[in-house]
Amino acid sequence: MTLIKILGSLSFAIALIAVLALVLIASTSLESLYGTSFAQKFFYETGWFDVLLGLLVVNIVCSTILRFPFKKKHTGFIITHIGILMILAGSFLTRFFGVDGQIMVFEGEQQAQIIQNKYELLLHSPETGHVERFDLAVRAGARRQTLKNLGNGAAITLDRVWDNAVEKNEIAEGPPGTPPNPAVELSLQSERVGLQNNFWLVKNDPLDPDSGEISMGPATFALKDKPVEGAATIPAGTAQLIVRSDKTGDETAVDLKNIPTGDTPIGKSGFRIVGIQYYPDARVGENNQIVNGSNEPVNPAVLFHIYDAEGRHERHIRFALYPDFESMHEKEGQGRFALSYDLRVDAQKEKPSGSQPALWIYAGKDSWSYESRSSQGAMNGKLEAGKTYATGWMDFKFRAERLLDHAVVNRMVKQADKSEKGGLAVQIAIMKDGNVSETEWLLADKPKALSIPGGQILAAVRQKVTDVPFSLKLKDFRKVDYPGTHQAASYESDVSLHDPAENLTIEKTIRMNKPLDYKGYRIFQSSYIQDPAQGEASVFTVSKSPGVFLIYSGACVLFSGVFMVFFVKPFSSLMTKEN
Amino acid sequence: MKTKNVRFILPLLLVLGTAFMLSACDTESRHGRSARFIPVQHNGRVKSFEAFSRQVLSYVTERETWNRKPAYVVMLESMSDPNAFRKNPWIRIGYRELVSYLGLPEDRQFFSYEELLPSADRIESLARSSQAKRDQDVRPTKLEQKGEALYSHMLEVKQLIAGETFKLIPVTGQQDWVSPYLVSGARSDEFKNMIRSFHEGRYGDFEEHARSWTNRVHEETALKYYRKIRWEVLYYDWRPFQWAWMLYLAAFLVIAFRKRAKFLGAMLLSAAFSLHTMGLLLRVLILSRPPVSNMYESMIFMNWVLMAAALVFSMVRRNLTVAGVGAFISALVMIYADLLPIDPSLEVLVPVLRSNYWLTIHVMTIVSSYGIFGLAMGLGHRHLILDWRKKLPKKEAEQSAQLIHRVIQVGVLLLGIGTVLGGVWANESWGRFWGWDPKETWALITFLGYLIVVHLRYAKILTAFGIALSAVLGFLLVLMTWYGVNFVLGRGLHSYGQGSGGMGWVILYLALEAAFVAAVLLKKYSRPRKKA
Repeated sequence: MTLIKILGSLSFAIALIAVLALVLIASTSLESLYGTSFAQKFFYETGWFDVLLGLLVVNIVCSTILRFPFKKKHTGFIITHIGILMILAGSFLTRFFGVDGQIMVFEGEQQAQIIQNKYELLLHSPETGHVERFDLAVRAGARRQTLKNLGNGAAITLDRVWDNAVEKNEIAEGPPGTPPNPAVELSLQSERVGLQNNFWLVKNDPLDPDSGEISMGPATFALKDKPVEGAATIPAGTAQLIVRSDKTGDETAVDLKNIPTGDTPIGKSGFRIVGIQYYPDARVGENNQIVNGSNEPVNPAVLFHIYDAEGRHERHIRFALYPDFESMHEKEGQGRFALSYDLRVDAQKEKPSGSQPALWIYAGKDSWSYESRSSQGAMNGKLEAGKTYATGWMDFKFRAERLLDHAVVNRMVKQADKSEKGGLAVQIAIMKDGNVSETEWLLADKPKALSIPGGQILAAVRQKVTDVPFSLKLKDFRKVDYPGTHQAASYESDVSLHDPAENLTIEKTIRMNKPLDYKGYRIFQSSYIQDPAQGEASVFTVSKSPGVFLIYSGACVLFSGVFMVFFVKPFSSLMTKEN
Repeated sequence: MKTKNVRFILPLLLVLGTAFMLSACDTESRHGRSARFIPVQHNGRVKSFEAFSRQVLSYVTERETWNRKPAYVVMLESMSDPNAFRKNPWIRIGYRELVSYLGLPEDRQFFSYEELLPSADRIESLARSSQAKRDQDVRPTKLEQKGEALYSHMLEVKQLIAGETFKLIPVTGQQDWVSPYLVSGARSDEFKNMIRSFHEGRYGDFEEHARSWTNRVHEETALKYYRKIRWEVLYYDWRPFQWAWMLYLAAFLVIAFRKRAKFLGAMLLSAAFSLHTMGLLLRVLILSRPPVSNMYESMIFMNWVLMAAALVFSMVRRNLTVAGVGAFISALVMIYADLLPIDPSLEVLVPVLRSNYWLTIHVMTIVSSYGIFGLAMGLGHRHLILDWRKKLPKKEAEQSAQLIHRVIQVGVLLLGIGTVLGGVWANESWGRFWGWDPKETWALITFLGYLIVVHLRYAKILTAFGIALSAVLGFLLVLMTWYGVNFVLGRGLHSYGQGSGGMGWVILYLALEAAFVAAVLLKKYSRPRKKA
């Protein structure tokens, strides 16, 4: 009884409210500094925050018990507190039994799954085709959890789950025998802009095609091969792919500006070139596909297949400016045809140009040099490690911290700084007889193959996908603008919802603030994609919140109670002992 | 005593009135007045040339007028000179660092489009990196933010140069109007002739042209915009809110210092409140939407609720004191609204804010609660000042505290309901009732703060002095929720209240308030009081 008295006391209530208010002030201030996910992770989604709200419930329940048996004057008080409890109960219901996810549908397509804002780990055995799924709960520390027993004392374990991790590079001079790969660490400073920045430029990073170039605000920094003087020049306008059989000496040249239709035989060697695609300005697009940036020969590349007489085939990609590219990225079994390839294109000779500030570093065989350009003119000279040079733009200076000739790039997964935006990273380990034999970091949507005793297993981390009892087809998406502008006045989607269980189809237009309700699910227009290449798509938020009715009615109860307490005298007493 | 007060009030009114008349006369004497009524399609709305010019000018120059000329004159003069838009040194860069970053002369604030053109690349890349950071939920640096703003100002001028902005000719059967500078034909020639007559100083001709042009557009659009455009020009000519705050101030002075002139006080009050109401109604009619869609509108509306509540309380208590306090706070809020760079222009809404029943109710309820808390804050000040001057006997102090408590109760109820309604709206629009968005969270913090006050009062812990002080301090929470979340924290879903600046004025208020509270507390607790 004493405990109830303390827990139900007004001073305890006031203390709780005050603590809650202070905590919220702290969380919003930190959110302003470190972003929304920070506040969610360290405040709203923590156990102690739940405990705080739970204590509020305890306080309300206890204070209500204390007033038993109720009198007429307690009516307002009781109703108010019942209202608060209903709202809290409703939000707990939604939190634990609600569904919240997204559906992205392109026009004309349909979807019956929602992507939730939660992640799962998949282990896939290629031999059996068996897939195991594990829900991932983010945690700060390391804790070993066995996921799968492989027999013979071997197991796969889950060690770490970080939600704000980034992949960082560690760059160092490789051991003797490492192929040449220039890399430079630059530090850039400007007192006027208050900038002090260190970064690496690496000529060749197998996982990052843009490692040799960085844009920072208006300026670009690039590491380039020293232009070879006196090299054989290719006649202007040439674009040729030359394939030669090392065995028979047969040779075929294909004019890439006028690619012949059908297969091209390579002399009488029996080989054929099939499906030639020429990219004058090759860039790496999404999903690591090669896409063409323009029709100027900036980075010419060609993609083609070779078939032999027996129908075996190889796929090749050649870059005119990087003739060694393929040999470095060679796949298993490639190159068995004993053919040589030569891509001869009159590529644009690059030079920093225009008024945009640019700093180019040239790695030569024995010495390094630099060239800096801006609207004010050009500067160039020899580059030595540890020396500081002016760039010529404003008061920017740079220094070559380290110059490496045979760099090796190692990827490390680290917790992101508070200012960085990171993603989910999961560390798993393969155990043998209680000892770690191998650990591996997995990033979201980047599957990896792991070798385990007796074979391989594919591991992937991705957003959790849930089936919904209906499929949603997008018939048409429209963005309606305010007259005479490109400013959106409304987004709307014509959809048809099909429920196979009930054999029911509903046609409706979903627009901002006008969701579609079906079987407790609400489908909202939350975003859209308008892409000339991919077409139009709508992004819908799908949510099911079973507690919302309780919350609404709780709010009504609450405020009628508050009204009584405040303004209807006979029902307005808060106190236990009062006349 | 009486004469002294009259001497004090009358000159004040005289000075204010003269200043106002002078600024009004300035417009009267200008040529080209008929052009103000020409309909223009701009930013998704058909508006008067007057509103259009004001908006473009204040966007580019961040000033109301340029070279002491009203906006429509600047626009007409620039339109008649092919190089003016390019050469006018009127694009304001209010941030020194940006000026020096772009390598421009650091002693200037205003630059022409031509001068900025060589730096366009740099400005664009600032805008890009700012956008990229924003997309990643990282706050851009001040340089990037200002660069981004400058970039959009340059785009605006670029469109002026190209003539794209002037969508003056309606096209039958089409939503989009066209610019006489982008199409050829009789209408286009007619418009250019009209501008030429202005350029050549044939103002009589110009007025006639402008009137017939306007009439024709109204004929073509079946008078759809006729009334709205009239109202809009009226709104700008009339400046109802400027008059209202002057009258509020006068009413306060009369009520506070000439207690016997009840009739005069009541008259001034009702005149001010009527103007205030009419101004609000005009905005509603022009824009066909509730008057709570941006910071300026919410201030004016909050103020209106404050005043309405003050009048109701005054009527119930048959005492002008509450209304007088309300009038003083109202005048201050309106002056603030004019001082803060919070875009009083009449604009269209982003999709999520459009045509939503719950949103309207939610925002109006919340803003109403701010108004009520504002009134409590004013009454709290009155209480503390009278207490300080020992002019508040115990019985009156208790009455005043009871009144403040009542007002806070109304506010708590409105804020609570408003916050829940916000949840209802969020659930209808985004599918979640509560998401710990900063604005939501701060509304909750404010609610909890006042809840503590109410509970303490019920427990009889809070004295009369305490409740007056809480009313003053509680308003700081309201200010944080209302202004701070958008302008200081600058994050979250409610950022359509967008904008930055005006910070200096808010800090001034906070400093004055802090000094006041500190002084009151010192006075109260420096010497132990004798117990009665």
